[in-house]
Formats: sequence, C-alpha cells, structure tokens
Amino acid sequence: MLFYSFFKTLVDQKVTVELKNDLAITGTLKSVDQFLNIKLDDIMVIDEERYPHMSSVKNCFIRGSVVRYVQLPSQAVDTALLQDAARREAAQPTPQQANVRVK
Amino acid sequence: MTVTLLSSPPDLSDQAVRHTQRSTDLQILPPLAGVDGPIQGELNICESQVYFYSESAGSGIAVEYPDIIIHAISRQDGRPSIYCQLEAGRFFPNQQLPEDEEEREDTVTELKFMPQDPGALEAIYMAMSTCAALHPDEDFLAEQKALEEENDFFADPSDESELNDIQQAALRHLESVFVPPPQQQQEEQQQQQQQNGTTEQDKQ
Repeated sequence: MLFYSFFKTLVDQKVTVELKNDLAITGTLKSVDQFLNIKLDDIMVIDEERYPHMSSVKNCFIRGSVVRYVQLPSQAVDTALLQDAARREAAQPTPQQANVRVK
Repeated sequence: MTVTLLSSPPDLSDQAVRHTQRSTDLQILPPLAGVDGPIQGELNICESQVYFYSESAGSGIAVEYPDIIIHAISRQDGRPSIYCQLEAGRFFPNQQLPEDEEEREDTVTELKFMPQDPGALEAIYMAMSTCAALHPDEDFLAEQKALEEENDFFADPSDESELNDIQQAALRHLESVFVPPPQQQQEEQQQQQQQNGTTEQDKQ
C-alpha cells in the first residue's frame, strides 16, 4: 500500500515509466490503482522508431505488472521520508518493493 | 496466458460484457497469414477477455487482460483507434512472423481497434481499463495477502527527533486540533471538575 499511497501524491506530475520490455513512456500521471496500474496523459514514447504505431497516442493505461521503473521529478520526493517508510515496510516478512528510481 | 484465434463467434451468454462496439475494424500487427488490411467485426469488452469476431472474415481473436500490457487511445493518420500492445511472446498461430530468431524476439503483437464511431473511443478505453484492473498479477496478490496477515503497519516515526522542523510543527498542529474519543473526553471532563473544585476551595 505504501507505493500506492506514494504514487497518489504524484498525480499531475510528469513521470517516465520504463517497462520490463525496455519501452519508456513519458507522460502526466493521471491515476494509479492498488495494483499500481498507471494511467498517463499526453504521452511521448522514448525511442519512437521501435513502436511507430504508438505515435499520436494521447492517453494510455499501463499494466502495473510490466513496470520496471518509474522516473520521478526529484523535487516531488522527500527521499528521506520515503526511505524511512520503505525500511519499515521492508521489516515486515516477504514484502516486495516496487522499484523506484529517483532522477 | 494465451491469446486465442477464433474460428466461430464466441459464446458471450455467460460473459459479463462491459462494452460492445459493432462496425469496428481490427488491424493485427504483424498481420495474420492471408489477411491484407483490417477486418471488420464486433468488439466485445468482457470482464474475462477481449473478444473480437468478424462474420465476414469468419474469424476473430480473444485476448486475456494480463497479456495486454498497454492499451491507449490513438489518433493516428486521422483514424482514431484503440491501440493495444501485447506481452512479449504472445502470437496468434498463423501470424506472419519474421524468420530470423533475433528479429522475432524483438517483435511484439500490436492490435488496433478502429470503431466506425470515433466517439466510442473513450467508452472502449474506460471499459478496458476497468476490466484490466480485475486481473491483477498473481505474484502481486500473493505478497499483498502476506502483508495483510501481518497486521502490523507503522505510519508514524517512533522518534520525534526524526522529524524535521516543518514536520514537527505539523505534528503539534494536529495534536492541538485532535478531538479525543468520548471515553477519553469523559475522563478529561472529570479531571477538569476536580481542578475546578480545588480552585473554588482555594477561593474560600
């Protein structure tokens, strides 16, 4: 639940989502759900040539299970607070953290 | 998870259909063998799968939501469509795939649904989003269950000195506006009365 709550605070920020298949998409975070499915608006595909059919895609829904990284604007994140909260959640047995890379 | 090629219309009588769109063109990339251009048929967004069947072509497809890694609204070349990218390795039996193995590894199946009515795009996109959320990843569910069984969840730091100035001020503010539960209120009132009693005695 930690990262669901965390991503909710980032709605309307510009983020870059990198998928496990190496596709990277930049857009405005419009919504996130408890499974970390992500909706982005006004998207731009990094490496457009590989996926020409994605040009002129405006809004997309990305399945949470295929996300590798979400790149965030650094000023949007209190890393100390996030680290602390994540450490506490990690102290529970068998959690698996979503991968978060801060630019 | 598998993607299915249909050779007869799907039986939707047991399905929870969230959205139906007739007169929709489907383009599959890479294309199916012997298919040149889009085929026209009916799109059904059901809670279990996405079904598309073309009476004229006598074939269609069924795709499970965990295989749809992205779906999006696309307005390319003036023909608005719903774009879907499938999970790697999901191919239909008769898809025209490159012979070179390396190239094939780089190939992903893409679907474009082009309804005759472009106003329907939003509804199709919303229906797909709703249904996709009904099929979370199994690993994710397992770990959520493990966490819930734990019951322990910290939200606040145990040591106030871990908070910076702004956070400490916020905590002070919250404490000042916090209304205690009724039981506590009663105790506080009793305490108040006792104090008042003492004051009056002092006055006398």
